Amino acid sequence: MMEIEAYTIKKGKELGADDIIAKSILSKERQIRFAKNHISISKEWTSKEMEIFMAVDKRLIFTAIDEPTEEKIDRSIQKGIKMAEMMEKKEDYGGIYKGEGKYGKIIYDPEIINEEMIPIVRETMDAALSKTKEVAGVLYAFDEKIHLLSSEGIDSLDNRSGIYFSLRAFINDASGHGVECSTSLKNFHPRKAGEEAGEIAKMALNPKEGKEGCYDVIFHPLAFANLISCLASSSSAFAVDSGISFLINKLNEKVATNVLTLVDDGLYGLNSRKFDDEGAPTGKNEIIKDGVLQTYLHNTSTAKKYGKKTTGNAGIVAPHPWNVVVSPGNKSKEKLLEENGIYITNVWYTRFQNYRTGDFSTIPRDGIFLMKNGKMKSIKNIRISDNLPRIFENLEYLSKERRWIYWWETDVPSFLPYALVRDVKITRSR
Amino acid sequence: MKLNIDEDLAEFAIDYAKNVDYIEARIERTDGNSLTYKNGVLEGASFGESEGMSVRIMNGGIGFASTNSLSKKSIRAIVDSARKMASIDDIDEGMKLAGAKIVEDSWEGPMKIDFPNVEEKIEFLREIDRALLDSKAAVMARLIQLDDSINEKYYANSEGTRISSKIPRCSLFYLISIGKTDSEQMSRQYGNSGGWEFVNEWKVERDISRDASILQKLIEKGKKPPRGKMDVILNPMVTGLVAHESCGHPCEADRILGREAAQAGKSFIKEDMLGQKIGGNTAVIDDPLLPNSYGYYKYDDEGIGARKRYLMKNGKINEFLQNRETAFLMNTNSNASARASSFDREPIVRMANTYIEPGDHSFEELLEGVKYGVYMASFMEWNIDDKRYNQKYVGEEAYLIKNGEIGHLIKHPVLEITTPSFYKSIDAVGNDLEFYAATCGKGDPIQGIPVWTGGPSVRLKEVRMI
Repeated sequence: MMEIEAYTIKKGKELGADDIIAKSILSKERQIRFAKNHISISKEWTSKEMEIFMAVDKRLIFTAIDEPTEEKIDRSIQKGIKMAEMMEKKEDYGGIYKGEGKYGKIIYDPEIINEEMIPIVRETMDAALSKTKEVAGVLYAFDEKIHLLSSEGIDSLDNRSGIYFSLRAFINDASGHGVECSTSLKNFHPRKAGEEAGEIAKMALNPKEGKEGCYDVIFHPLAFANLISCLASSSSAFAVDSGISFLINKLNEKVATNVLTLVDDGLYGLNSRKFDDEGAPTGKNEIIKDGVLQTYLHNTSTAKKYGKKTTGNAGIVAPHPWNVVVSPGNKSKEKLLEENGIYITNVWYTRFQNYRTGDFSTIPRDGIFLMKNGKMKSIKNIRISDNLPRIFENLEYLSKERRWIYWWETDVPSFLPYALVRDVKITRSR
Repeated sequence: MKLNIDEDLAEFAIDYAKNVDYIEARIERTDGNSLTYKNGVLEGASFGESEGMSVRIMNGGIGFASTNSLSKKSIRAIVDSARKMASIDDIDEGMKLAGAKIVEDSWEGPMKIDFPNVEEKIEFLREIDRALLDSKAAVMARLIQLDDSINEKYYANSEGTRISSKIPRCSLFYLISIGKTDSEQMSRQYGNSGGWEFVNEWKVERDISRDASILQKLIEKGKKPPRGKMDVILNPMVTGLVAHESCGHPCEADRILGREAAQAGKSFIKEDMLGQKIGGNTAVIDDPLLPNSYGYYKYDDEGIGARKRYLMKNGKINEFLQNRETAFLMNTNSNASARASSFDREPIVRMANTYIEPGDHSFEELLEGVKYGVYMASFMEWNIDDKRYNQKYVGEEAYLIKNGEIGHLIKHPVLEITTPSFYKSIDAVGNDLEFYAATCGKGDPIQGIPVWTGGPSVRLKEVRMI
């Protein structure tokens, strides 16, 4: 009996598809959520699905099938071909990846999904509770087996694994947040995330109202990751074409100070994978080098439009970053924290007035500290209201130390340092 | 009502789960379609038939498991898994649900006109795109997305509740970028529970053309906004967002109890603040039963019959949004706020359609009372802190008000205000109630659910604009 992916390719070609990709995903995920120092719910998901992409005379069709069978595949392909007959051409469609399909390696740990999760949760909670009164958070693990076949001859397998911990610690109205993620158990050390969350919460006790003005801001990697993931997402050619990027017409131009080098890496980080949604190899793409924008992130179609090669970041409609890595700076974290200004340990709710200009605001949460002459004073209720290109133009120092960041608010895994940005506009509500 | 779902599988799961305190099973099937139109080109069409089942078991703790394989073997596996996960000794007294009436019912969202084929949908998008280009504004980029779905659901629990439902939904989102050098952007979302009959009521062509013209004018003639203390009129698009963010979210009982503390955050409202005055005499309502609303449901995802909830009444905190889990912890009853975005998500406390109750002022009467101030007719940037206390709204279409009359366009006036200050500042409420569709995100993994936000125009007295 023909494997289901090969059957899909054969059937699609028979019925008139020029290009067709069948991507099967067998996945298992587990999660424990905890709040108020107790486990609130444990979850487990199992699923088997197939994503199908078809191009029929430059008309693009996407569908997904749960528990694929030949009957379901026939029905979906027939429906898609019929829909395509009624659609208009996407003239700038540039086909799908044609190549040898030589892939790099990623770290896969089959034991992650079977690991006893409750002891990890309790140990990490205890680490935070040794310093605080209340914790809440999540431990999540996944295992994914992917088989991708395309009408261009790609026949590729990938095994992916990952685990992350996110913990928030509270004392009265003060809080701190710590995160940890990895693709292997060997490199997964959540206890330190619990300890750090507890330490920040403790330092943040009794905050005073923050004041408006222009401040030099030291960003903890957790806070910096939010801004960096906005920058990385803005480098998608789809975002550029859609007018939702401040990197439009900025190729080969300065978009940050010399200290910023930003790489998207498909093979390193929680979201690592050997190939993208077209079967193209993933790898390292230098988005920004020494502050200069080097490339947008591409799939085959957007690459053709820009006269480039795919960067292995498909999304067939919208290319996107996998894992972003910021090169380290030359100062220690301690040295950065000697600066006068505001130290922000986390932000959320980053929203844009205009994606093209980059006018935005974001709200610090968890520990926020006024830094003066080496002393830290806890403050609260402030907001960063600024312009993102300006933030990167005022980026002065990065630390030597780097951390992996991934959590509910920052869904592009990011490996990055502490950052010092000059003259950040701070506002507050009244 | 006959669903395209094998309801017996839910019964099988409940029968199979012996010796647990509680089990519920939810099977859902969603047929969905989506079209993305970018810069006048159809990017592609997607469709899918998603089907699967979840079980939630309480046996001291709570275990939740789901599968998209609807074989008895897979269902036995998720029941075994959820039972094992629920049987933990981490909780002192064991987790329970507040009591509930046993219900057997079925309900269906109305659908007067079926969703058309892809050809007709594309023509609908083309007409919107043409209207935008006819505006003569310098259109630099545009993104339009049209989605429709029909969700069928069978809910059963070990207490005896059985509910079948079927609901169609349709929505559209657009984002436009205007201006070659200076740039302005605007986005809007439309949505209803119902069929294709609503798309013409949305009047997207009118709105997109008007938005483009206003943005062009804003670029060419918009002036700096005034700063300092002044009166401000917010139109229903803005007041709906404020109602959702600053009253709906902090009244969610799971936030108040800390269950979402590591993700969407907590609430400035504490459990003992029921009846406490926040400010003014405003009423804020959340009502899942608004006919054809984007957030419509007759029963929630724990089988509780929906009703209208007054979250704030006469400026006082009146009621929290509760599911059975939070209601048990607060020693009260659920008010049908449990929603899950799909079969593989747990039911958590959510809003439905949240709005400020209208008053009796006409818009002209609101204006008459303003000597010098700002009228904010739409927004782009906004955010709020994780206690729902410290918020910011930046006007996109906004005007100076002088001596009770609307004057010239102003660029990006900023209202940055605390929640109590906002409600205390309301000195007049309009009678022009309107609703706007939105997708509200909460939960871990994130669950996007359809809601309406709404309200009338309101006038704020002497607030600080920056």
